[in-house]
Amino acid sequence: MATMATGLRHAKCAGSIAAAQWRTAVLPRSTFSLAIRSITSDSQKTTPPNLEVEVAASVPIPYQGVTHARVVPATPSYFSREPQFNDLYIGISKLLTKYNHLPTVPPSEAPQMPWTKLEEMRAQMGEPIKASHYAKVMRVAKRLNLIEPSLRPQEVKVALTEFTRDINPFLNMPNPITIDKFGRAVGVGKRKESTARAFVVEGTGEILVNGKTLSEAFGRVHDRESAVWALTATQRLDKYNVWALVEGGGTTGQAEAITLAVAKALVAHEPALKTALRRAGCITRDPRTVERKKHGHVKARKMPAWVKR
Amino acid sequence: MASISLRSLVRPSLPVAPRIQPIIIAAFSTTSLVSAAAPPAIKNRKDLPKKTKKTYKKKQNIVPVKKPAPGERKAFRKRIQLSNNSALPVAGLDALEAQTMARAESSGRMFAVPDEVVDQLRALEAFKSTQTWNLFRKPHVLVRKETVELMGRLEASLEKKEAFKCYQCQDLTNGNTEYSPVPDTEPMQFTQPVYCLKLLQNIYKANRAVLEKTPLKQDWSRLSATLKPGSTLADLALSAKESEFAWPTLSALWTELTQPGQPPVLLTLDGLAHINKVSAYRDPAFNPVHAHELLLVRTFVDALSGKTKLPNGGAVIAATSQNNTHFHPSQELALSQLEAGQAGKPVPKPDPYERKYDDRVYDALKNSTVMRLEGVSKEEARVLMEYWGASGMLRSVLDSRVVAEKWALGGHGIVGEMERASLITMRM
Amino acid sequence: MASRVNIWGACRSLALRPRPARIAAQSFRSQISSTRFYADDATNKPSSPPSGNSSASGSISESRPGNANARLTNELAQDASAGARPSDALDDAALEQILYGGRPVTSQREGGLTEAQEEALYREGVIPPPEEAEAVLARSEAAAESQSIVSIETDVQKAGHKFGLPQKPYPEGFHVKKRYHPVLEQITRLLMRHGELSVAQRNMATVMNYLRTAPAPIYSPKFPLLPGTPPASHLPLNPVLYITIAIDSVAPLLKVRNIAGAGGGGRALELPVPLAVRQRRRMAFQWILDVINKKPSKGSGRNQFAHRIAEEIIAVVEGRSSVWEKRKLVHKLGTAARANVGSNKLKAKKKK
Repeated sequence: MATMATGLRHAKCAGSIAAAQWRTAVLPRSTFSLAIRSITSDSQKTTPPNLEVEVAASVPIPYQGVTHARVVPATPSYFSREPQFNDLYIGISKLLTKYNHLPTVPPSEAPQMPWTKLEEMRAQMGEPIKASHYAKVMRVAKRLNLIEPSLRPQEVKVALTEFTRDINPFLNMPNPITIDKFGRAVGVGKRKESTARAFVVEGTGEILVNGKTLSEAFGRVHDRESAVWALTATQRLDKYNVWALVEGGGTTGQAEAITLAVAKALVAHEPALKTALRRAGCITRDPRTVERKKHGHVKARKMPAWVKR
Repeated sequence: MASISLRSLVRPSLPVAPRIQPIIIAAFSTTSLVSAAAPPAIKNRKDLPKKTKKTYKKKQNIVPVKKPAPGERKAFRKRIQLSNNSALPVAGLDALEAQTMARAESSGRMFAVPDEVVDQLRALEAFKSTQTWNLFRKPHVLVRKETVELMGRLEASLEKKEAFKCYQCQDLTNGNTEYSPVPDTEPMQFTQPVYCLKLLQNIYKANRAVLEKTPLKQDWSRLSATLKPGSTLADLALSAKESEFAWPTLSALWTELTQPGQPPVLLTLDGLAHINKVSAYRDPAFNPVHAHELLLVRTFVDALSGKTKLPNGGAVIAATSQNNTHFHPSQELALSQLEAGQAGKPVPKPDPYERKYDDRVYDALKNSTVMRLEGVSKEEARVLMEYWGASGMLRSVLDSRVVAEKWALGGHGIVGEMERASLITMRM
Repeated sequence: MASRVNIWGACRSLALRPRPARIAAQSFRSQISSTRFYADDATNKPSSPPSGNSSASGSISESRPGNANARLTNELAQDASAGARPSDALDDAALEQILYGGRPVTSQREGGLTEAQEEALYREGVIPPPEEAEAVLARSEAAAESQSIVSIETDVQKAGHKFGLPQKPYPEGFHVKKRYHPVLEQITRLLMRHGELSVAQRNMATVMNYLRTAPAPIYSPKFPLLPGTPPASHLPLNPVLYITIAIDSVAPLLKVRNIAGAGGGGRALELPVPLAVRQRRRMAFQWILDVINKKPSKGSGRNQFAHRIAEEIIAVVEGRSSVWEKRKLVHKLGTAARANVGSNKLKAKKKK
């Protein structure tokens, strides 16, 4: 923010002709911003007609009636490091001061916004925005987003669109799993390198993995239990039949991929089970994978042995 | 003087006091001294003998431990324990009797194995160390639907079953037992004397009561002087004291049992695929030996194929499974054809591109009946698990959901896998 | 998200904002008392009257599991401040006296442990009397039920499920990653080598089966187990309880921490520190593992490690194990160092 401040200070010096108005404008807080705008608007509105008059008169007396020696920039932020961004910040801070009194909702209930990322904002504005500045701006924007949606002024809504991406990824919902005419629901699950598809249908509790029974598919009892955990936890092992196809990875990965696949398909049959399945740890995709190898290392973390010369 | 001086040159003829002379015998070596490698020449400082750094670290004081005797560790591993005093005794279960298994109403029920049968089965090595007999107070068995079916068939073929033979046939063909060729056979046949001796002793232990009552029909005095015309089969079985006489005695016993008027015989074998392959043995010309050239196996196969008749009635049962086996095309073909024939389905034809068909195996199997064993049904699984619960081995509440869970985890009711999933686990 | 104060803090760095910066309220910090002991977290009452062993030995019911550690520190501290006697009076038995009101002969009740008692043992490492355990269990259940109010509404609608929803509160071991008993889980991870979890689990299962097939242990009067231990005949059929009792009985109650330079003259100050349940179990099982690794195996095959563990657990329960000596040693050291609990040098070091 220090750079912004200095930038504005420069703007002050540049507009030294209007110094008297500036000083007076500073005193009352509410009209302070108006004062800045008045400078800019003045320079914009007044200069073109003056020039036209001069051209029309074609009087060779130079600089007559000219109030500014050179073109005054549209905004005092012009002299800062990040002019557009600075303007954005000033504008949104003013909004916050203005609507600070409005009731807010807890952060969990605020509408989900696809906030512009730092990189995107840099690319949009073409300015070298500092990460710390970006963070401060985003804090203000997120505070504004907390204002109760029904009471939110139009002004705020418009201002917040400046901070959001055009595409809202939160509206991208996966296609719901449907139950086909044979009563099957297909769930897909992944874990480590494994991918599993589970076809879940109401039945008597027979489970086949790649056409084999559980005991043939998995040698370890722990893995067999994992594979049908979604059914055992919700006490539905004798209510459904499962036909699973799984490929890639090792035994643990395959078993837990089936867990996820079966759970998703089961939720398609009975949506109310989702809470219970989440508590049973069957809904969440485990994102852990093998850590990549780094150069200079023998494996992901192992360093080569120390050699004396 | 000349004579004196000459005498001084010759060897003194006077007897010299005997001295103890060291006897020097050079070490025997065929290489000359010159060709022995000389110590490496020292050319520079590198070749100088290096000072070895003395380590002052204290050696860990190794406590002398009494090492186990040879065979002790294996015996510990292979130990078979049939009772657990901590387990709760299960009351209200009937004992297994001769006729129980054949009755239809006993299907799907648990039965206690009587002590004398336990001893017999133990002698025949019917219990395995991988099974969970050691968890329960007493051996109990579940009579399945298939058991009743099999026993019904056995009942039809014989009135009173008397003698058992039980082979663990993997040991026969994997080259782990001693073997010796039988002279004057073409192609050469082999016996396994040590195994035969052990088998004879096991047969005697398991069937002592029957053998002692049955007199010999032929004169076997050439085998042993103790065998008189009036002696019994038990004497015959006991007459083999050393492994050289084991096979003649065993074949004599087999000949006796196939005579008319003797008790019926039940021959059983586990691991059929192992006796149908080319064994790990080699003949003197180092050609591989087909398992059917082993006389013990040959005896069984002849009985199975019907070449040896059982005039007194009897049965030959061979079992194979998907575990501890290998793919044998002829065996697969024969079994699938028999199964399809029994079910009235179209019989599969042999694959014309398969080169590994073995006619001897096919001929041995083609006259038999096939019975496929799957896992137990859910009702039978429930009975089994109730028994586990009553023994105190299963601590969770037992309801149909738990039964269905363990049934599915055990690969649709495979008993061994169900035991793994519910008894030998951290969740109980 | 950012609180209001922080938002203003963010705005404050804006150059053109004329509003004076608000001073953040920082006075609440000074309200916290300057001296904090380990015991402060656990005890509700400010301090119990110093009465030595007599008050502590009142009854077993006094030895509330949560307070055990706290009371230990309190007692030690009071003892130290009372005159810092040398370590003659407070030996191992006295320590037991303070903690448990002595180790009585194990309970001879017919029924063994109630379910609530077992649960308390697994959670806190102490067997409370049945009534108290019931009360604790009831409290935790009430807390769980208060969470499940929301679910009842969905149940009324009868929508979204075909065979009924699973009962709340969800049972132990409901989560796929927490399906085993917590005590077993901890021990399994401890005996795992080279990250081979499945081998460790197999070993653990073998240990449990060995315990189930072994005859009931014979308790040694010389090394009493946890107060309230059920009769020996109850243990083999409940291997989890068997293992827990063995480990909790032999677990040390404290460890001695060396605080560098606080002893004066460049020496370290030995400070006894109470251990939490999980820490205690870990310590005890590491000791057991040390003993096992020095023992030769009796047979061959892959179950030997498990058999040695099981034999050592039985040895602990029967009082034959050398782990008991280790425990005694640590407690002796702890009692000797108890004079250092409220040491001035410690405070001086903290202030720095």
